[in-house]
Amino acid sequence: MIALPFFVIIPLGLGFILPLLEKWANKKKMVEWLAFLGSLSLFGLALAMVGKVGIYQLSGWKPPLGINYVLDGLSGLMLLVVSFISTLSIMYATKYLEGYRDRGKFYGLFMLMLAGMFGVVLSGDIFNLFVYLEVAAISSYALVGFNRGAEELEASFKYLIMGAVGSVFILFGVGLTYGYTGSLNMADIYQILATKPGGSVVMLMAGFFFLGFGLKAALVPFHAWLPDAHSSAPTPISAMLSGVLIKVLGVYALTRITFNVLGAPQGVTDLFMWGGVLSMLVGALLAIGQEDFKRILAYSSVSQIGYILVGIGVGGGLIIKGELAIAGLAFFGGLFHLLNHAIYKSLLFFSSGSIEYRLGTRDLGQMGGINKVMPITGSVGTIGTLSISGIPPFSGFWSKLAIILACLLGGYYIVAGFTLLASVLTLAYYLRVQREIFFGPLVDLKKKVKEVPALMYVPMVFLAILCVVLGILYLPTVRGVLFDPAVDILKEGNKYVSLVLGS
Amino acid sequence: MDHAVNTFLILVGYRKKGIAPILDRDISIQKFLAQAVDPLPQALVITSIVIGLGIIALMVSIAVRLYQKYGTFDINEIRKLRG
Repeated sequence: MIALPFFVIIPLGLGFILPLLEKWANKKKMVEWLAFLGSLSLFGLALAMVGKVGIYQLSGWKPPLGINYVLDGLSGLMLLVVSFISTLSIMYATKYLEGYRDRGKFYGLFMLMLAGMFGVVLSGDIFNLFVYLEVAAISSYALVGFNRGAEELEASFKYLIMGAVGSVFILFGVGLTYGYTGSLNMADIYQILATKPGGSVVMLMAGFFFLGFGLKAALVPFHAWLPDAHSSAPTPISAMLSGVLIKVLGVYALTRITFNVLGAPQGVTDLFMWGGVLSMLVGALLAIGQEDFKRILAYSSVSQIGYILVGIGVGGGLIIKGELAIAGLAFFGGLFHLLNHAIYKSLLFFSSGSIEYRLGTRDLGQMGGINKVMPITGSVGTIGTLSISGIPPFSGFWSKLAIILACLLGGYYIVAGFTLLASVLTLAYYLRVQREIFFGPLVDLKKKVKEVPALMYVPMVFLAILCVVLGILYLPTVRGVLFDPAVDILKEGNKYVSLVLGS
Repeated sequence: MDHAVNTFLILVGYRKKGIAPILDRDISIQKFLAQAVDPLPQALVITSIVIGLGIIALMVSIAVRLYQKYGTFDINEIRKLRG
């Protein structure tokens, strides 16, 4: 698997080259093209990796000793999501950022964030995972404050403090794990913990990891930074943060560590489930009262992360009960929702950015009738809102259906009820978004409003098509190739071990 | 908080009356294995110190910018974002 390190090498190298190119050679167009081609090549590489598994040993050290990159079903899925959304974000950013200074630095930070995320997804070493997580997190703190306005800086500072606290919890968890098992290799830790008696130390580790990654994933009650940070960042970054960063640093890392390192101890899966339910409801309730379009989207991210965790938590609970088939359905629902959320949330952030680009406002009261003046933005935004609120033909419906079905079949009736309730709340606030933004009377504006340039609407159209297509292709094709390997890794922790250690 | 965790990491690898984990010509392998402290947590700590430095540098520069915008360091007055 010689291709694996290139997922980190390409963005890391570009992260250093791009700011220098701008500063010394002053080649602005070349910077943009390099950034776009870099992320496009990563997407191509991720597509080539679909369905493959393997490990890469750094400097040839064998797994329990050295650091290794692991590609399995779950990380393959995440690689695809991250590289796809980042390619579209860069495409969108070329036009959106036209008036900004220091675009080379912007793309440099963007690439560093990308390198960090790919590292988190691929790393098979728990401390290495922490280091990559910090790389991604620090560049995202800087990117949130990139506009250098008063509100952006405030949001960035808040995000930085919360993120740093989260990182300390994770580091402490890593220290505890090393102290208890004497190993940092994730598969090796799983094996050692399987032979040792579990109990309170493992619970303590799981608790620290849950706190740390929960802060990164913005679960309620750790969500306070998310609406500020995600609504203040430049739009392509908002789409990256909400679409993939909270999932990679939060949900993916938490899931990987809980299921493939700590072996999904009893109680932690319940924590996933109830934390998810709480996020789902509180995020949706808070979103209803917002006046700022991007803040609604940010609170909705809190709520949607809840869905993903409910899917994964219910799956974990069912494994302990021994009902593997239904657990597979729950994991599938969670992961499918993760993919869907990445697609429609970046679509919605892009359309909010387009509206801001033309109208200069994010206030719901000051916009209306977008469908008449900006037909493409209006229609893709409508598709996004319909999909996220779970209207049948669109992709959001199918993943919610899978989660709720798994809850009902597995006997978690209360959780299923809460999930339905949150679904209704989601529909409520997105209907409001539709009424006040896309439909309704035109607000009287002094300047003439027209459609955004092609570079901005092409990514949105791509995402909108996916919202429809993924709903239709649901069972036969996508599932077998993309999701089944990922689900299997979560269902059986042993698979990860045998992949890495080759036993 | 950073430093508390760093100290904890060092303690994880420490043993009483340990020697520095440097394999010298005078020490036999057995004695080295029996007495040396675990070097791995020290490698972890130096990484985490560097990361901490990066975070603090970013934090300070954002704080300076915040002072330029708001004219104060009082967190009760830095409150433009609500809701």
